[in-house]
Amino acid sequence: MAFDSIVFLLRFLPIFLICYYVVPGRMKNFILFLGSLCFYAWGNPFYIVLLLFIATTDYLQGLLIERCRKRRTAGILLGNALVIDIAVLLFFGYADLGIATINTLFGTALPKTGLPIPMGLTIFTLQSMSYVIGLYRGEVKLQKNYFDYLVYLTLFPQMLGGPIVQYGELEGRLHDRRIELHQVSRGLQRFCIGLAKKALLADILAETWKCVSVLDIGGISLGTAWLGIVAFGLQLYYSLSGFADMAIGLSMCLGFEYPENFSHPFAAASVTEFANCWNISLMNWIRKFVHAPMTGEKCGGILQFIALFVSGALIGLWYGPDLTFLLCGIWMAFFYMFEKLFWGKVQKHLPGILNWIVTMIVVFAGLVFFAGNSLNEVWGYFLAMAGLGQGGLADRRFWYLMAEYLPYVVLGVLLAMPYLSTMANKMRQSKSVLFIAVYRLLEKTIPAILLIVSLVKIAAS
Amino acid sequence: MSDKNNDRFTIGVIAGIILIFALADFVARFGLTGSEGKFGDEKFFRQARYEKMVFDIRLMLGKRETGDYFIGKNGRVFEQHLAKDYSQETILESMGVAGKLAKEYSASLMLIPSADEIWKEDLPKYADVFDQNAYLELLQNTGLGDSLVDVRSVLKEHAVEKLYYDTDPHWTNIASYYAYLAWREKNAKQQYYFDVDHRMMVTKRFQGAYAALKNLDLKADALYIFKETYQKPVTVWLDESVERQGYYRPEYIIDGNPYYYFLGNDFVTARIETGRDRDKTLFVIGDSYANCMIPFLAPHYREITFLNMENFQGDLWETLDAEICEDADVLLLQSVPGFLDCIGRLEIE
Repeated sequence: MAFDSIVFLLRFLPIFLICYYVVPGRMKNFILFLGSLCFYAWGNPFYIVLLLFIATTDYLQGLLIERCRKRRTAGILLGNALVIDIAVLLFFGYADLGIATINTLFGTALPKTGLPIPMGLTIFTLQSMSYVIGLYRGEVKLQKNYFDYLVYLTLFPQMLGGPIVQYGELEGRLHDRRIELHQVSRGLQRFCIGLAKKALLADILAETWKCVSVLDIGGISLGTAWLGIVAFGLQLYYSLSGFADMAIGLSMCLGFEYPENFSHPFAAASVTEFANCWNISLMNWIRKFVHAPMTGEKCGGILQFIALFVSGALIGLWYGPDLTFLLCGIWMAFFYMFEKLFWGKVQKHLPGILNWIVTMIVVFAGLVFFAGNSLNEVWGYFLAMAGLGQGGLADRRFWYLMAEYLPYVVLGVLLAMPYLSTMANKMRQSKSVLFIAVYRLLEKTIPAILLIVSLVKIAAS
Repeated sequence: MSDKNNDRFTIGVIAGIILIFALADFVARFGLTGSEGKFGDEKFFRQARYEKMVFDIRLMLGKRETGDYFIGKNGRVFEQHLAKDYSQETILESMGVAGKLAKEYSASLMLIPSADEIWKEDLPKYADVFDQNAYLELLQNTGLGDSLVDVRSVLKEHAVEKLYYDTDPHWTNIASYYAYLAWREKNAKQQYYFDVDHRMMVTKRFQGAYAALKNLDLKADALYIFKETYQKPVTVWLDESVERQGYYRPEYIIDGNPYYYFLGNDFVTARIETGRDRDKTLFVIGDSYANCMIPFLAPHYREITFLNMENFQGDLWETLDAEICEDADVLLLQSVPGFLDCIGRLEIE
């Protein structure tokens, strides 16, 4: 069930929220659990078993870890829990990629599993791992209530695209929580903005990318290649951040507070800054549970190098079981490292705009891996982006696409910058009565208008 | 407004919008309509109006494409025939097919440019359409000049006239008449009189394939025929089983694409007994562009066999070898995109 579908917006959500608010405090978790299961079962009911299996094994391992605390057994139990989680993740998410790679490398013909990837697999397994690791490290308390743990792991708002909510971030609100009026109001506003990002902006930018992606890669011009990849990057950003905004908004309505997942990544003036602003919850998870344990406290040298590349590869693979995603992660990790070792020193002496341009070239070139279907296609696209393709610098197709889609791409770029939020913050903090009045008016009308337009657009399509 | 009231107001408005839409969805699906409807039905959300509004806004912002169509100047619609859709391989194969037809079957080649070639200047700026002129010149320069009837030049000469319908990608009756004149001149055929100035209007509510594009304000076309083609005692055999009198199919005016008033579109072969005492017969390998031209060709032949390539799935060469007798002329009569589209089905050694 997608957030931008009629089934979710007009059937599931109203019924669920009414039930959730009507029942007394302790029953809310029951409704939340039931609602989450319905949401999850909509796509493939079989995978509920998988979700409950992960929740149950990690809950039980957590109990045992706590009981064996300060003994060597705790480490074994943690290892056991992680092996189960990773095995499920690899089998259901990445087995076919592994089989395809083996078949290519060794010329074998092993059959693929053909299993569809369970919705939210990479989210709920990472969340559950955050609990057992956190518990082992003593960073979070033992969850004694099985039902509360089930509620944590099955929470539906983040299932589609994150953010990955670590157990420690929700721990205090799982059993009992107070729902503030202000929180619900902000949550609904955030939800509307997220919906508009997905339904109105991401979809039209996806249309732009589609026009480029169907062309023969060898024949596209430099202009078309750049226009296409910028549209692709922006549509990816608006899709992911739109889903994240909707998840954050819903979490507020339910009395939780999810962490932010995007913070204007396309305004970044360095790859490091971009990495800190893009899918923040995933970066934090990888940093905390992969990168930091690998490098230890005294990081440096070759270990740092390896940890960074492993992190990059994992981040890439998180987006899907494809070799091109993996390479996208490694590409970003390489430039992250390059910036840390050399470029960072040069960057300090360069004007901000130049740093921004260089960063965007690296980022969008990296996104070519993300967008490409094969390495040949990626290479052809790189050549076109460098002006070395057969299409030259700008062909008729480029000028035509510019005439067709430029306003949307420009709008996409402008809205991806922090100008609007900066302006809104200034107005909100202003002492002028007029500014405050305008802010209050816009704060109420814009989300409502965006909701109406998005709903009509979704209904019409 | 206090902060609390402010929050209450926001929640009320957003929840209210969702509930109104949810209620409308519910009513559309399960109530009032009697049967299960579909959310977004016009009566509830006026979907068409919304789509039209969005389309108009996008048109204002410079969007000149809708689905597989270009929106040209003055709102004229063009079917898209993009350069990228016709590979070098297809073009070479098509040249082979045309060459074989011309050399082995002495066929006349009439390849009709579509509207985006004749009215190129009306296309959106930089639209990367397939260059039909270059393609026809290529055919001309590779030894097919003697067989090729230059329809493009004659249509270009008359480009100010209504050569294609506004609501359909096909050419009009008058365009096919000009093409016929070019064919007659090229083949030194006898002249027959067709009164251009007093054609007969069949309908003024012609809504062709583009009528499905509801976002556009397309005015209906008028459909004309030449009087001389109406009353001739011709017998048409569709797939050798259905016998009809005359070229025209009034049922298509009421139901279906009115363009198929000319001969219809529900056959693979149409055999037309013209009722004329002539020595020769004609075998036409054609697509729907041929439909409205056949009445002009009829006076020159005793019988015309029209192989409709839009529905034909067999082996063309076997069919030609079996069907063509010694007294037969052969004519390839297709639109340029139509000819290239069916090349994949025509294998040559």
